[in-house]
Amino acid sequence: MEIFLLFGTFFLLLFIGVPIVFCLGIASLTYLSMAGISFTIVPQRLYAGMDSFVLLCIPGFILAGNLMNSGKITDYIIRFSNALLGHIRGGLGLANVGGSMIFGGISGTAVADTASIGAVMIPGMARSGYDKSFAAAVTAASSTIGPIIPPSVPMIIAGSLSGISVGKMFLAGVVPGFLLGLGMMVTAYVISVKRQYPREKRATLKEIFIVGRGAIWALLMTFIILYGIIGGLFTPTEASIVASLYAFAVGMFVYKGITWSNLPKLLLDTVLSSASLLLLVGMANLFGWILTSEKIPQMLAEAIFAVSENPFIVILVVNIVLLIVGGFMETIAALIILFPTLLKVAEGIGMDPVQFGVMAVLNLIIGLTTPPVGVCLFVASGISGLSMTAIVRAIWPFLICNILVLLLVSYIPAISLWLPSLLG
Amino acid sequence: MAGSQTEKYPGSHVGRVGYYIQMLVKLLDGIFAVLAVSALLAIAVVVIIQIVSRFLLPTSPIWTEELSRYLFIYLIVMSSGLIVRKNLHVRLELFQSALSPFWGKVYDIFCHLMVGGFALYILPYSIKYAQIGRWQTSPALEVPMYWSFLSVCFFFALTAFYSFVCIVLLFLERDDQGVLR
Repeated sequence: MEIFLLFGTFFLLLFIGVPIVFCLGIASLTYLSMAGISFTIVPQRLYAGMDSFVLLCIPGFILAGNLMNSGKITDYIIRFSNALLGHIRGGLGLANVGGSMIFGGISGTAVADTASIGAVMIPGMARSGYDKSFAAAVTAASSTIGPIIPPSVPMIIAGSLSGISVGKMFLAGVVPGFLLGLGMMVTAYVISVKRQYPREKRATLKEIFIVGRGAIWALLMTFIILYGIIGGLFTPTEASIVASLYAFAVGMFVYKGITWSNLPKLLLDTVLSSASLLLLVGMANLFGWILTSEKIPQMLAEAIFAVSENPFIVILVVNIVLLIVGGFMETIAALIILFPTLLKVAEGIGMDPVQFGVMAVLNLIIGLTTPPVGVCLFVASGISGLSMTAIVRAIWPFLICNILVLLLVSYIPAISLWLPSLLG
Repeated sequence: MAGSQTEKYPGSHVGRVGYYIQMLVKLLDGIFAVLAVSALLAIAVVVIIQIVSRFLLPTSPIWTEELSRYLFIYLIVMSSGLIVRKNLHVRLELFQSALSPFWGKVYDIFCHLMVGGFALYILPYSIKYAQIGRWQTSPALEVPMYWSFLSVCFFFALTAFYSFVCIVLLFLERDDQGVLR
């Protein structure tokens, strides 16, 4: 009974549009009062959820991304990507995907990616003769590569929830990230050939070198982060601060986008977006505690195993659950609530937690580009001025590509586990 | 309602009071922004000390990890009021854009009431929780855990305070959502 009240209150408030943090808090409160548990558990679990050295790297990575993005980095990334891929048919579409992949290496969230690349690419592609809906769709879809390629906020949280090192989670995302990029480029190419989209002039080696010199700073940051963590030089938190210092130096002296006057706003933006994310983590920790004490993970595992004990079917069911939840819920909240619960199921069929982590994040980020609550769709629709429906109609080929990669990750462990296993 | 009076009598007492309230809130916004950003910068400094001492000194200090964690929690709670003020909490937005200005306001006030009421209700419990920390000291810095547990009280207090401030500003039609925008 109490548990129905918990979920009932949560979904009611969620659909009314109360901030998700407080949907979790108020729903937990109704449960606690029914179950007769002292309310001091609320501050206690909230504190425990936020008090973590691993999560401390989140503001660092957000800061590094914001500092990097304050200059002309997006321009350079797009021009570099365009110099490499532009001469193929539908070149700007392919460059959009390539740009998202590089951009994913400096930012940890998909929305930042849609907003930065979309602002340049959607109008640019429309001017060059691409359908606006295609431009918006390819931007929104490819930005979901960002949270798969390290650094990635969802991967950090998945790691902290399961006790897996953040470095391992980061590495596990590299191959799936590249597969996603490749798949989307192929999709964009096929559509472009069919619709006879233009191609750009082939860039000379010299031109590639010139724009590459501008973009190299972004690639170098990804390298510093990965090498620092995996090489054992830094903890993820230290890596995030080193990356921020690096991004500050690059933004100040190379791109010259950071000034003493825009720095305070940039810092405040970083602080506020990290804090709202981490409050969600804290409150979801309370909600998750209630689920665990009510033995929901075991019950869900039993329910799924009652359907079938065949690993193939179990993975399919888990994917469907995650996809549906990802369509409605914010990625981080969904991850914290569902991840520990479904991890039990995954371990029951002998799935590696690292592989499961990548699979869960992939599922939830697909929800960023699907209705009803696709944040990247909202952003792309805002930039392009197109309706959500128009973009959704154009985005489905890319969704199929997303789902294919998801299936590969779900059923072939090596795709996520090969790289982490190479480096211990 | 205060809001409609402001429209009818610009420059009236209500208008002036509204103006002063708005200025006061802006001042508070600024203070909390400075506190939160300082926490971020302090974390960076502490982490840099940690890295430098590990590579350059024979022993690295044991307090850095703990201090950065506490700063991190204060970063979060000091931002919590501004997050309410600037409407930065993530929420499901299914119908909000279709609301008329009047119903939009009703919706905003309803949400602020829910959030503020919840935070106010939990506040005494979090104070009780912080008291538990009086009997514990942190392992490395040896400060009473009270100070770090107290952070949760700040979160609920600021969330409640800013929710009600937002309601007042909505009534006064002065909800401009933010200092730096």
